[in-house]
Amino acid sequence: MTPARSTPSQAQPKPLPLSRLVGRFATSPEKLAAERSAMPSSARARLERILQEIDETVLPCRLRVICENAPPVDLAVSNRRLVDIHASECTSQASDTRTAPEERFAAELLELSARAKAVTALGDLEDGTMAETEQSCSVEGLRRALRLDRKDAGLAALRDHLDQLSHAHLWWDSDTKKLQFRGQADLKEFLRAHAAEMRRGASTEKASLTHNTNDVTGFAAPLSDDLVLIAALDGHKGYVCVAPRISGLRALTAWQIAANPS
Amino acid sequence: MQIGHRVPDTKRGGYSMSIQTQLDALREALPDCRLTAFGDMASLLVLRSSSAIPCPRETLDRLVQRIATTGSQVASVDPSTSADASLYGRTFALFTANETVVCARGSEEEVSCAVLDPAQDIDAALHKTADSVASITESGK
Repeated sequence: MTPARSTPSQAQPKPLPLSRLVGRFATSPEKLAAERSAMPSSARARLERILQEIDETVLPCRLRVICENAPPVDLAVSNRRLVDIHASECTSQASDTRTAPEERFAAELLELSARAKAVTALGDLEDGTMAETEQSCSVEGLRRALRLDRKDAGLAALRDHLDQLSHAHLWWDSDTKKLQFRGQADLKEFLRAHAAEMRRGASTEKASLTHNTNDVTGFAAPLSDDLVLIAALDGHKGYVCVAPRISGLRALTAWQIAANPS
Repeated sequence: MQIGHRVPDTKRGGYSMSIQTQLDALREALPDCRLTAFGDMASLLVLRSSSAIPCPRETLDRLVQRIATTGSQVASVDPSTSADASLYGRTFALFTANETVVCARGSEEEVSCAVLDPAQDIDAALHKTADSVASITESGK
């Protein structure tokens, strides 16, 4: 479906320009409908599908992602790299402080995969201005930012997603049981109180986070418009952090996506 | 709209249709949402629910117990650093690698929740669930 795979028929004496062929294809409702029906059902599979489309697109092109209950989002793609995301106003709920393009694009693709219904290529070759920029990202870089190739769904993987962006975090393991803290000092007592509450809860039958499973279980609770408390237990190991609300919740989503490869 | 499975209303028949409508609408509004429910954390009862396939009562009972236990833990957090929060104290999400349960409290012990497949937009789901429980609470006044 992408321009990279589109070739004008050799039998035509005067072939149409590739851009017009692509444009005709993109505006053909029956073909779009076929593409839409082919979109996978799980968020992880949808994300993989979008990455695959980027990876298979060589010529400058817009990939339009049709969304559920939201306007479509256009991805500018060139030379198998994501150049830009033209997100609608409703997709960005808060600014993200991260500046690395891989991280920014990864976060936006993550949101997109949750509600994507279809992806299709739109011809955008006529202006021809979409040159590769320093801001563009390879699929490999995006996969790295999304941590898609980690197979570990455990507490260490969750920490890996959250540690770098959290304002402060505190963890303990089954061996030492000693609380280890890192981050803003003014959050230490707050986190220590929560860790104590979690450890008390984990030792009782009414534990909120240890219901019939040895897997990681946890909760996220917004603390303010900007902050979220995230706590998780895995047996006798635990982790609690205060992170920026939007990016912290996105990190949880990214961890779930990495943990569900099928 | 898909009507979904309904748990018999055991407590608040006066505005049960409104609750059911809100739960159906919330389930439709959230991508990959398996179940929505409205319950009472004090009595640990699910009063209404909406799901594509019937959900056993035992599953609903366990769900509301998990929510109530974590809800009390969340409520015990000292709010002094976050007094201006729009969602603080009212919403939280339980998570595992395989599912997310977003929860929003109404007045008193009422709570709405939505069980989502993994990898959904949790922040958006928290807002929608909070709006839903606010509508249910408002319609019950």
